[in-house]
Amino acid sequence: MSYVGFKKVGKVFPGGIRVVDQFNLEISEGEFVSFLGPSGCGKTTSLRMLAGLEKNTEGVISIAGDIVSDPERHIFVPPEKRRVGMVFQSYAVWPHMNVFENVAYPLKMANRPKDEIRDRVLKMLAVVEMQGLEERKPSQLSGGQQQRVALARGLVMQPRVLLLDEPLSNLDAKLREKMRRDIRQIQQQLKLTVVYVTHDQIEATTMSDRIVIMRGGKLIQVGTPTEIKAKPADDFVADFIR
Amino acid sequence: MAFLLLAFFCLCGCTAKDERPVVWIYTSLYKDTIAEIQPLLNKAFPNFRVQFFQAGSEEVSAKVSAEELAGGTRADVLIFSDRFWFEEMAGLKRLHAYAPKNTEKVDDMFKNKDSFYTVVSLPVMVMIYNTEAMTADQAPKTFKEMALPKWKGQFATGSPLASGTNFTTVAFLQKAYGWSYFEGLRHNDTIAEGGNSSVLRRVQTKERPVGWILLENILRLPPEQKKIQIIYPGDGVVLQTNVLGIIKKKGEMKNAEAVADWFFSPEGQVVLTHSYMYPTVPGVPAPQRAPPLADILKKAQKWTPQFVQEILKDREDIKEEFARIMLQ
Amino acid sequence: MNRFQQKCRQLLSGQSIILVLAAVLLFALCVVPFIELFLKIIFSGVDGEFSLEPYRHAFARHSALIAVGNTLVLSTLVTLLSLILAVPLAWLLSRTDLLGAKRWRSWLSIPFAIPPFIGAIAWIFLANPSTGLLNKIFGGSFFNIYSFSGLVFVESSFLYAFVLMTALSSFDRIDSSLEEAARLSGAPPWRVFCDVSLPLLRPALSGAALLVFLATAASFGVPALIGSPARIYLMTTQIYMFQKMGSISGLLRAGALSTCLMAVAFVVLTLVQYLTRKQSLQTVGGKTARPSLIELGKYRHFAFGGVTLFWIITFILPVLGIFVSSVSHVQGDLQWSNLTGQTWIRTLLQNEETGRAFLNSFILAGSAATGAVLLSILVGYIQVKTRLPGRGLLGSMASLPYATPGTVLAFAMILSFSGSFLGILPSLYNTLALIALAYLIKYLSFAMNTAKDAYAQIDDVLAEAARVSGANWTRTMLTIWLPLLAPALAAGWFLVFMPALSELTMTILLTGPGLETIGTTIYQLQEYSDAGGGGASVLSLVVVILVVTINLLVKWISRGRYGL
Repeated sequence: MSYVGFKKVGKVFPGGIRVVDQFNLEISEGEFVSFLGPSGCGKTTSLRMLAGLEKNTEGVISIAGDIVSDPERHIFVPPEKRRVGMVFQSYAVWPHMNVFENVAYPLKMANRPKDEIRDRVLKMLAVVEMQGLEERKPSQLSGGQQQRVALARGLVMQPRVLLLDEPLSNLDAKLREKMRRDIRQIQQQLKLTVVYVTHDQIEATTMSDRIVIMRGGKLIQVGTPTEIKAKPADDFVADFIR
Repeated sequence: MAFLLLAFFCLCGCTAKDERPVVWIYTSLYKDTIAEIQPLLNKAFPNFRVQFFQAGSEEVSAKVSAEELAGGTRADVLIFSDRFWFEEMAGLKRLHAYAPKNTEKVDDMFKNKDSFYTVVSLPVMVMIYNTEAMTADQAPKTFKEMALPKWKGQFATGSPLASGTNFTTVAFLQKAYGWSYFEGLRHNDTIAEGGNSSVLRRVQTKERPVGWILLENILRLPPEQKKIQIIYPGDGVVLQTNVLGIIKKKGEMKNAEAVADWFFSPEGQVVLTHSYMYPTVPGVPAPQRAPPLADILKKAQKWTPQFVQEILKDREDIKEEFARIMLQ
Repeated sequence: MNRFQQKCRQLLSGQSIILVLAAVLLFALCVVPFIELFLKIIFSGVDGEFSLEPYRHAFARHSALIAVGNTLVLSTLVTLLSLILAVPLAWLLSRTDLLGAKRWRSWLSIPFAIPPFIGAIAWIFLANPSTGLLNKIFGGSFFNIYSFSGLVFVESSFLYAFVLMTALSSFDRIDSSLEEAARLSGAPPWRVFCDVSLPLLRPALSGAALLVFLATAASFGVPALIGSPARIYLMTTQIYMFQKMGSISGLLRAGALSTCLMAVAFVVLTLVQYLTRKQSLQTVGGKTARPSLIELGKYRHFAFGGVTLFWIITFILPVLGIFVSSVSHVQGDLQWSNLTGQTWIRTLLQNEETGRAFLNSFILAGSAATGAVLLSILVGYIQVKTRLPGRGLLGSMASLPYATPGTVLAFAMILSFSGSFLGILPSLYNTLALIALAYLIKYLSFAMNTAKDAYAQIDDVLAEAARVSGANWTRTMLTIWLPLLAPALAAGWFLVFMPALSELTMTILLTGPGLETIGTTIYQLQEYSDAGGGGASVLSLVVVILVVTINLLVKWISRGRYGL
């Protein structure tokens, strides 16, 4: 039984412009899947459809067995009710709250008791190696640190799926390497299901259990990094994954 | 969210505790007179409530005008002293034609020919002087003589632009003596500004020791005071008209008519004299400390229908001419 | 869940209800009163039939026609004078090495925030034919402020600032390489100005000029204080006089004339739209490095002297004037023995009306500002963060009352709110509520523009992160949007508060006993001068101080983004 399911999911704009071609995909629990492709290929849109920030016009999306979006049957669960965590490319760390408040926010929204919040936030900050910096404001943090805060916030609510939208593209090479390892490590530690969007094939191949290659709104190939490298579906993929 | 909406609608739908119909009276009568009237009306009319809105005559008329134009005024009965306003409203068919009980004996000059309104009381314009500045003999005796050079720098009046009663006074005097009278006042450095209270102030401070003013303004001062004394002008006081009219509305007018009747009843007329206005229904005694109505009426200029129509038409011109002469 | 149920769920969600209510409220406040004004005047016949009587009555006397003529002439003259004054000034300030250019920009723009009728009070003190200070100094009665030229002078001395600010910002935006190319081609500075700068400035300047035209046509304070004593009537004072008649016929006449004034405004605004549309050409150049400044050389001191003299005449002299007036025992007497603090004490401390006026003004301006900001939070969201159809109209709806002459707006509100508004409210005639509402509607666009700006600066991502973290729309609004918008909203609050505090044009029509405001009190004190005079000057000076202070506050809050 798939943990995250895309069944004939697609998106067409009212004018007739197709952004994402209908595709099927089943992701198992605890799996790390990357959507890989050049800019404009529809990978971010697909991610945002999973989060509920955009609406698919076709197909059914389900998470942990619950249908979260089915336009035909007029079912749509809003993002705040889907229990997915998300890390944005620009971190989206709130400037008017300090580190603690940022990470605590999802728990506050879930009306958890104060002690529990404190406990879980501090634990999560330790996981992302940001302990001791709870009082700092985002303006006092480096890019990498902000990224960690964003990650902690996405994780703290024990999401069913963690979504990451090109989270490392604003960091320098060295930091990127470290973050890649850290994210993968945390994911395996917490046995999280992760959907990761990137245009960087190194990220995709080093971190993922499976890669979904997209181009021009279409899903081109799905497979483990080894599979794809060995048997690329076409020249484009071969070129891309080189 | 839903709760807020529900609460909002509940608030709107709240019904008043008192279910009786209300008759609204908009009036320029003084507050203490109203305080006297209210309990009497409550007793006379247990089946409905009477509520008052009180402000100066100009404010009330402006308010009713605005409300009428906006869609309809809340007022049922109007009592204030701008007769020309009532004439105009009668012409626009916005008043209810009704001759209140007991008005058969009221002089015709105080009635509208179609019974759209009736004059309910008579304030009068007289003169005053400050005894600290002159003796009774030295004080002037008529409106007319105030234009003479001997009264230079001694006279204060109100302005017809600001006060309805002053407008009426100017209208009558202008008819009697022409505009040259006012040119004379101008040469005498007469201050013509504000309303009756401004005049009182000026006479009290001796800025101008003589002034024209409503009788009621003076009689309201403590009776013991000797500083300000009244002059009943030999060329006749100026009769002001406090008018009662009923706004025309759809539906029952009985309650409003009953209220109108009350104001012309002996009880109502007597209460009005407590405000130092003369009654219009004969047989009611004059206000305390004021001369009998017959004496007053002897020399006063009369209100005629032609006069009313003339002044109604020339209202703006009169104000402009006054401003041109007196306020340059 | 079927489609109907889902649609209902969607429609009844907190977000939809709030936003729809906001939009409906906006429409009800900003558009409905004008529709009502027009309909009530046109259908004012007995039993509501179509009738042009009000127009016939209004124009039956010469005075109304003359008023229209006066308004058009005055507006034209003021516009021309403002252009003549402001454009060379702007050039001096932005293109030459004039000493202290940066300071001058700020100082010379201040008149924009001060209500012109305060200038009228100052200049009446300085230049009235009988006791004017300048006349006393220079002997004789050379200066007579109670004249048409007096009107033109006073209005221009304030409204030039609007053209100046527009010109300055346009100059700043011109791609300097265009002018530099002209200079390199051998053109002397003045030719660069005429052949290159002016044509580039023309769209923005035309827009500004027309708005000055409109502002003059709409002004009440200066015409009332300077024009009326001189028997020069303009449309606004004429409307005021009609309304003061207190009768239905008076109101109808006022209404008829108001619709005419509105028509003038409409024509002007359409012209502005048309002229400024061509803005897209050339002006905005990406790399605006500071343009090289023209050296004034031997004219340096002359220019500086000229600008200083200008500033002294338009700002220092009047401020000094009202100061002297406020401490004079007898107005116009220039002796040391004439100085007294009595007027200050009497006006501010002993007069209960003044106290009430200040209280009223603060309450009114405060509630209007608060209401405007609250509404703008919601409307701004619709404008910037949604893709709802028709959201572009919202901005136009709010700018409608702003662009309408205050007299017309006040009158429209009397007609809309004196009866029951759309069957809901009680009569608001002669209540503080109506005045506050008028202020809110008039200055709403200030708040809406700041909100819109602020929303545009905040990345959507921040809200998305909140939603993904479990916050629904309302909580996102409260915990994310609002805190981030706060500084801009504060600036917006003050931008509404400031002009509302000293407003006169609308208030004079809506005021009544007990409803005095700072503006109407100054007007009353000046018109019916209290014994000794000077009271109006005291309050005027207080207003100037308040305005300058608040302006500095706004600048500080918004870090220089708003404020002069």
